[in-house]
Amino acid sequence: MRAEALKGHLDGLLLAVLENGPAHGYAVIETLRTGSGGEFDLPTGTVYPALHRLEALGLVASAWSNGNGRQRRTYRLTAAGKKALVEQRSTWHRFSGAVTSIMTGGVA
Amino acid sequence: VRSIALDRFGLSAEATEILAAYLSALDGRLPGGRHTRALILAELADGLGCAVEAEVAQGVPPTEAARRAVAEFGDPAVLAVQFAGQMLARTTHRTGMALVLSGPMVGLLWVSWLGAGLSTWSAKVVAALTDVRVLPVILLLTVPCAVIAASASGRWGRLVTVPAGWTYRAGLLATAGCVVADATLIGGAFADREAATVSAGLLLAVMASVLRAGLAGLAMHRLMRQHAAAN
Repeated sequence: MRAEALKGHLDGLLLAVLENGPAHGYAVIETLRTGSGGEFDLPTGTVYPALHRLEALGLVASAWSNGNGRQRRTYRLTAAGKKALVEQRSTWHRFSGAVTSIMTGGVA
Repeated sequence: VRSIALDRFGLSAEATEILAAYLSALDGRLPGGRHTRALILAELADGLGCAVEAEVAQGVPPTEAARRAVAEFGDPAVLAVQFAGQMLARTTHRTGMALVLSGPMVGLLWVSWLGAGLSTWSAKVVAALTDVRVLPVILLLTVPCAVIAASASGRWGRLVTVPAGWTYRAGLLATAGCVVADATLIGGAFADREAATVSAGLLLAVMASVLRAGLAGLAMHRLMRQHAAAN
C-alpha cells in the first residue's frame, strides 16, 4: 500500500502502535510493517516527521536515552494522545463500515 | 553529522560512509538551527543503525545492508521538506507566543511614558493611543495574527483549526506588524519630543522596542527560510 493511501490515517496508526507501550521510531515502523502483514510500505523516514508533529500537538511525548554512545529517542502516548486515539478509532469504525457497506453492494 | 558517533554502531567503514553521506545530504537541506538539526540527525542515525542491523541479522552483508537502509528511509530531500514543515510550525508557535507575551510588557513601558502625568491607567492608555494615531490600526492587525500564530500551531493546534498556510501568514504579518509598531513608537517619540524630555522611562521603552523589533525581524527571517524549505 502506498503512502498516499495512508494519508489521513497515519496519525491514528502511530497512536495505536504506541498504545502498546513506549517505542523508538524504527520500532514503530517495524510494528506498522509487521502488524499490517507488510501492506504498509511507506518510506521509513517519513514516520519521524509524523511523530514530531504528534509530539508538537501534545499527543505523544519523547525522551532521550544513551546506550553504547548511541542516542535513542523513545516515544510514549500522552493522556491527550489516548483520548485522540479513542476518537480516531470511532471515526475509523464509522468510515470503514460505510465504505464496506457500499463496496460490498449493500446499497440498493 | 561528525558529532554522531557512527563508528560506534559497529559497522564497516564503507557502511558507515553510506550512512554518513545520507545524513549529510539531509543535514544540508534542513533549515533549523544547529541543535535542532543535531537532534534530528541523531534520531535518524539510530533508526538507520536499526535498519542495518535488521538486514545484517537476515544475512545481508553490512555494506549492502547500509544501501538498503538508506533506500528504505527515502529521498533525503523529501524527508527534509517534511521536517522543515514541522520546524516551521514550531517556529510559528514560538514566535506567536513571544509576541503575545511581550506585547503587554513593551506596551506598559510606552503607556507609562506617553501617559506620564496622568493619574489613571485608562487615561494613560487613551493618551498613548491618541498620541500615536496609527498604533490602534497596527494593533488591530498584529494582535489577532499573533494569537492565531500562537494557538493554531502548537498544542492547541488540535483544537484551533485554520486553513492551510494561514498560520504561517499570520506569524509573518504579526512579526512585520510588531517591527512597524516599534519603529512607529520610537520614531514618534523622537520626532515629537525635545531631546531635553528624554527620561529613564523613555529610554527603557526604546530599549525594549529595539530589542523586540530586532527579535521579531530575526523570527520573520527564520519563518521565511523555513517556509521556503517546507515548500
